[in-house]
Amino acid sequence: MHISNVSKMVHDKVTNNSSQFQAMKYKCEGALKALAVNKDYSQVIVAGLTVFKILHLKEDGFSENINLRSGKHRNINLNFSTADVAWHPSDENIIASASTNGSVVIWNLNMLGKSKQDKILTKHDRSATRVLYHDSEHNQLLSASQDGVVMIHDTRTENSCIKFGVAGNDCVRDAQFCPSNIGYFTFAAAYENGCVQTWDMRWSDKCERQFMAHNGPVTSLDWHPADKTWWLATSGRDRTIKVWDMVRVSSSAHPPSLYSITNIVAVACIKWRPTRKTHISSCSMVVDHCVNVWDLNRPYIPFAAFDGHLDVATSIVWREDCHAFLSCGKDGYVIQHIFNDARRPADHVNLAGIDLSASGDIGHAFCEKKEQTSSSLGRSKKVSRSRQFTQASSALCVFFQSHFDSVDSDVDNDVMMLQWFVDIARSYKLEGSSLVDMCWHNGDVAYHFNKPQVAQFWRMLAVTYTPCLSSQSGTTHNPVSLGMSNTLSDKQDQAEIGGKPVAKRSKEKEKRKGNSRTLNPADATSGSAEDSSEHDGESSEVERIAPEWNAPFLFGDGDGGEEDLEEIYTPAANPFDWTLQRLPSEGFQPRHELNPMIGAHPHMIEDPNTAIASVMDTLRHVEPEVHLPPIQSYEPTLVVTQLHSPEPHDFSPSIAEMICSLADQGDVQSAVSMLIVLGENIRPYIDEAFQECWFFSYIDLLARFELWSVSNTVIKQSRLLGVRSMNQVSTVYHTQCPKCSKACERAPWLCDKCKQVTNICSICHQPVHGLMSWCQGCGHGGHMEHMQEWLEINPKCPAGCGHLCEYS
Amino acid sequence: MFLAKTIASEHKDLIHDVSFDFHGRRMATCSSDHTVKVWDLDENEQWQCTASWKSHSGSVWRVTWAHPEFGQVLATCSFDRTAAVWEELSSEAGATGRTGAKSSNTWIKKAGLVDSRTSVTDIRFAPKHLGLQLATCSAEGTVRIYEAVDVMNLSTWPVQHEFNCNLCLSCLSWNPSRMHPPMIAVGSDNSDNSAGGKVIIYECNDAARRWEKVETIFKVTEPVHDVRFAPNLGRSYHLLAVAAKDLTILSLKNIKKDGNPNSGGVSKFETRQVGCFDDHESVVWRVSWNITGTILASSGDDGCVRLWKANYLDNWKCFNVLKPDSNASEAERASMQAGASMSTTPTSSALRAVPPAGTMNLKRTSGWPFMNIKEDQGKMFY
Repeated sequence: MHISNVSKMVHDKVTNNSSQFQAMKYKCEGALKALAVNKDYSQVIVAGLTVFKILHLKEDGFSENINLRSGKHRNINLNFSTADVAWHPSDENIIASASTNGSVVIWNLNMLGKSKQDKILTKHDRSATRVLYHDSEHNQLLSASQDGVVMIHDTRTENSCIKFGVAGNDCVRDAQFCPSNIGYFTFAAAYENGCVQTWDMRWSDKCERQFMAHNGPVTSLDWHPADKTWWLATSGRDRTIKVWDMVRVSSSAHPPSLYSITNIVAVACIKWRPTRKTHISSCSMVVDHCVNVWDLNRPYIPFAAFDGHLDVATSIVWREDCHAFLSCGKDGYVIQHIFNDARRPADHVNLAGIDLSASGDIGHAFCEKKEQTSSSLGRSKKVSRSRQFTQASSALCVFFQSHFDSVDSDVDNDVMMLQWFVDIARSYKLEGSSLVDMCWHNGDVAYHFNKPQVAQFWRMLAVTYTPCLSSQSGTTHNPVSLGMSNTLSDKQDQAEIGGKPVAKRSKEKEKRKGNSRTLNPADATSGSAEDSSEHDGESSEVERIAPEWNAPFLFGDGDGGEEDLEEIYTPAANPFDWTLQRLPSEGFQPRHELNPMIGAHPHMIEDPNTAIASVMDTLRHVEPEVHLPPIQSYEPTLVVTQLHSPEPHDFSPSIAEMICSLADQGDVQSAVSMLIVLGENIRPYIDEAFQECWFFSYIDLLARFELWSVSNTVIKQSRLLGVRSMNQVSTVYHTQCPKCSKACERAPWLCDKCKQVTNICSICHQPVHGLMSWCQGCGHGGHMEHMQEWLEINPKCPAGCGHLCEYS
Repeated sequence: MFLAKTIASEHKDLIHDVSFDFHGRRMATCSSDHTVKVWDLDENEQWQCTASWKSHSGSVWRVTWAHPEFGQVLATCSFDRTAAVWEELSSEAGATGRTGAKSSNTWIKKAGLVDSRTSVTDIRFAPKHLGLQLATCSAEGTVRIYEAVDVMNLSTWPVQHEFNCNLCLSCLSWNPSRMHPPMIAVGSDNSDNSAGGKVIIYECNDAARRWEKVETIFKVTEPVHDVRFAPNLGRSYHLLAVAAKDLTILSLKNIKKDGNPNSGGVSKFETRQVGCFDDHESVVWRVSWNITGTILASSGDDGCVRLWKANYLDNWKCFNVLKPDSNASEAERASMQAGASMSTTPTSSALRAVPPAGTMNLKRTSGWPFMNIKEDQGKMFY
C-alpha cells in the first residue's frame, strides 16, 4: 500500500468573525473514521482505515506533524487500520487506538524510530470499535469490540483487564464513561441489538441496568457533560436520537425518555454541545453530509447545519467554548466549523401556508411572531434568537364570510363567496324554451344576481335574435320612426343588416361617456366605417368597460329595451352606410325565417350533424352567390366585405368575440350558457377547442359545488362530441345470477355458468325483462302485473312453495 | 366582510402548507412536526380534525389533494427526501367521518416516492385531464413526473419524466389549461440574485416525449417561494402568480406558430407583467388563486393575507387585507349580532399557546447552576 507523504494543505478561511477560531479544512488521503484532540487543542489525531496521522491544529490551519502510518510497507498491518483513537488525558505523548483486527494499540510518540507502537493489547476476538481513557483514572483504558465485550485495561501492567459482558453476544457499537463528576465508576455501552447497558466498573458480573433504546442497532451514545445531569443521549439506525434520564427512577426500571429527535436517515454519531444544555450535534450514516446541531426543545428542524463534507461525517469533537468544533468525514477532510458560519435551516423554511377553497374560504397558517421579551439585564439578541427558534409555532386561521350579513351588498362578499355562481347556475334556463325567451330569462337572472354586464349581454342577444319572431307576431311594438330609412319598414331589417351591431356599439359608447341620447355623428360614422376586425376589438372593450354602467342605463324588460335601442341609434346612422349595407340584405329576406328557427329551439337539435343543420348551412352559403352579380357591378370594393360577412354573419363574429372576451375575464359560466342557448348560431364562429375547454371548465366548476343536475344539462345540451360523450361512458350495469353470483355478461337474464335463464316469472314462466317484483320471504316473484293479479286472488306464493307472500 | 376563525391546530411546529380539497369541505395542513392533519367541516360549519398522523421523518413541506374522482387522496413531500401518496381508508368511519366529530379517520400510505437525493420541496397533482400524475421538485433542481399505473391501486408510481433545472427548486405549478400541452412552472429560492431568472417554464413536447424549457422569466431574480398558475377556464392567456420578495403577476400568451402546432418545437410566449406589488413590505411566502382565477390571495411575512383582483382594465389591485387579530374582534361582534352559536374565537393566546416543549423536569434544572435563570443564560453565552 503506497502512502503519499505529500499531503495537500487546504485552507478555507470563510470569514473573519468575532470568534477566535477560523473555519478551515485539511484533506487526508483516505477516509477518516475517528478524530481526537489533545488537551490544549494544539494537535489532532485523524485516523481511518488507511490514514493515521497527527496534525498541528493552529489558528489559521492544519499542518501535518507525524504520520504514524509511515514505516516499511511490510510492517504496515491491520494494527494501522484504525476505528477509533484516544489521546491520553495527561500524557501528551501517549495515544491509544482501536484496530479493525481487534487489537488495541498504545502509541508512544517519544519512542525513537519510525514505529511508535508501544503496546499491543490483543484481547478482543473481533474488531475493536471504541477506545477511550477514563477522564480521572488516567490508567484506565476502555475498549469496546464487536465481539460483544467491553474491557477496561490497566495500562500500567501488561495483561490486566476486566471484561464486561459475554463474548459472542451482540456487537458493542459504542461505550462511554460517565463524566467522573457525575458517576465516577459508571460507563454505558451501546449494542447492536438496540440495547444500552450501564455498568459499574467495579462490578463486572452483571450490568447495572439494561434497556432497549432503539429499534435496530444503537450507533452512538453520549453522556451529558454537565454536572449532575444524568442524561444519556443515544442514537440509532432507526433514525432517532433519544435522551434518557438515567437517575429519575430506580435503577432497574426502564429510564424515561425525555426527548426524541427524528432524523431523516440513520444517525452515525452524536455529541453534546458543551455549555448548551439542550444542544446536541449529530452526523448521519448515509446521504446527509452535513453535521446538524439540534435543540431538544424543537426536535424537528436542526438548529444549525454545517456543510463542507463531501461525504458523510464520521466523528465530531467540540472545542470547549462551543463556538467551534472539528469533524472528520469519509471524504478525508478534517474540518473546523465555526458556529457563526452555520446554515440555519429554520431561517429558510416557509413560514406561511394559504389556500382558497371553492366556496371562498381562505385557510391561512402563519408563523406567530413572538415579541422579544426585554429582560431586565438586557439579553443580547442572539439568545433571543435561539429562544425564538425553540418557540416557533404557527397559528391556523380560516377566514370565511358570514352567511348572516349577506344582505348588505358587499363587493368582497360577492367576489369571494361565489354563491351567486351557484344561484345563477341553478336559475339559468338552458333548455325547454325558445332562444329569445331563454335569453330574456337569463338576462333577468343575471341582473337579479347583480351581474349587470352579463345581463346586458343576454338582453342584447335576445334583441339580436328576436326579429323573425316579432315579424311573425306582428310589428305592434315597433314604433319605427326612422327619418332616412323608409325602406326599413321593420326593425327586423335593422337587426339583420350589418349596420346594427355598429349602431349598437356606437350607442354603447355614448352611454359610456355618459352623454346618453346626444350622439356624436362623427363618432358613429367612424365606428361604422371600421372593418369587422376592428369591431371585434371594440366589442371586447365594451365588455370590459361595461361594469361601469349604472343601473339607469340598463334596459328594462322586454320591448322597452328595443325601443330604446332604436331611438338612440337611428339618428346616428350615416346614410351612406345604410344604403351600402342595406342593399345586399334585402336579397336575403327568406333566410331570416330559418335562422331563428335554429336558434329558437336549440333543444330540438339533438345532433349538430343532423341533416337540418347542414342543409341550413348550405343554404346560407349558397344564396349569397346567387345575388352576387348585381352587387358587384354596383360597387365592387365594398361588396367584397359583404361577401366575407354575409348578413347573419355580420354580428355573429362580434358576438363570438364578446363571448370569448367574457371567457377571458374568467366568466366561463356566461360563455358556456350563451354557447348552449345560441347553439348553432354561434358555434361555427368560435374555435371548437376553446368551446370544449369552456365546457369542461364549467362542468368542473359545477362539480366543485356539486351541482350535478346543472352539470348534466350542460353536458346534454353541448353540441361537442367530446363533452357529450361524458354522459355516455360507464353506463353499463351487469346483473348477477342469483344462484352462482356470476355476472351475466351476454344478456341480463341469462347466466352463462348455470346455463339457465334467471328471473323467470313464477306465473308465465318467461324471463322478466322489465320490472320484477318478488317476495322477500320466499324469493319467488315475476312480472309485476302478473304478481299483482295473482295476489289479488291468492295470498300464497304462485310458485307453490306455500309461503304467504308479503309485498309492501 | 371576512370573519376569522382561529383553529387550535395543535401542530407542534410551524405549519408549512394549507390545502383545501376540490369542494372546499376538507382541509389538510402539514407541519415541520412530521405530521399531516385533515380537517373536515362539520354541520355547524366548524373545522374538526378528523385525522392526524406522522407522515414523514422530516419537515413536511407541502400537502395537496388529488381530484376526488380518484378518491380521497393526498400527496405530501418532505425534507426527508421522500414524497408520499396517502389514501383515506374507505371504511364506514371514512364515509361518515364528516359527521362524527370525534371519529379519527385512517389514512394509509399507498406509495413512497424515494427517488430524490435531497429535500423534496413541492408536490402537485397534474390537472385532471392529464390523468393521475404527480410532479415533484427537489432542492437539487430535479423535477420528476410520476404517473399512477392503475388509478384503482395507487401503490405504483413509476417516474415518467425527469429533468434537471440546475437550480435549487422551491416550488412548482402545473398549468391547468386543457388547450396546451402539459406545462410546468418551477421557481427557485436560490438566494443568489445574479443567477438570472428564478422562474422557468417547461413544456412537455409530445413529439420528442420529453420536457423542454420554453421560457425563463428574467423579471424575477429574487428567491421565489411560490408559483401558481391561475385556473385557466378557457382563457386565451395564462396567469402566473410568483411569490418572491414582491408579488408578481404575469400573463403568458401563446404566440401562434405558423403551420401545424403539433409539428414539434416549443411554444413561444409573450410574457407580460400585469402587476408587481411590494405591499407586504417583506417577503411574500405563498400565493393562491380562487377557482375561477379572478382573485389572488397572497401571504407575506407581515402576517397579512392580501386579496387581489383585476379591474376591467386588467389592473390588479389589492382589495382587502386580512389580519388575524383585527378580524377577530370583528368576528366577535358579528357572532354577537348573529346571536348564533358561532364560535368565532378571538385569536387568544390561550388557543395559540406554545405547544409543550418536551416534558422537561423542572427539578432537574436545579442541578444546572448556570442555566436556571434566564439572565444567567444570556450572560453566560454571549
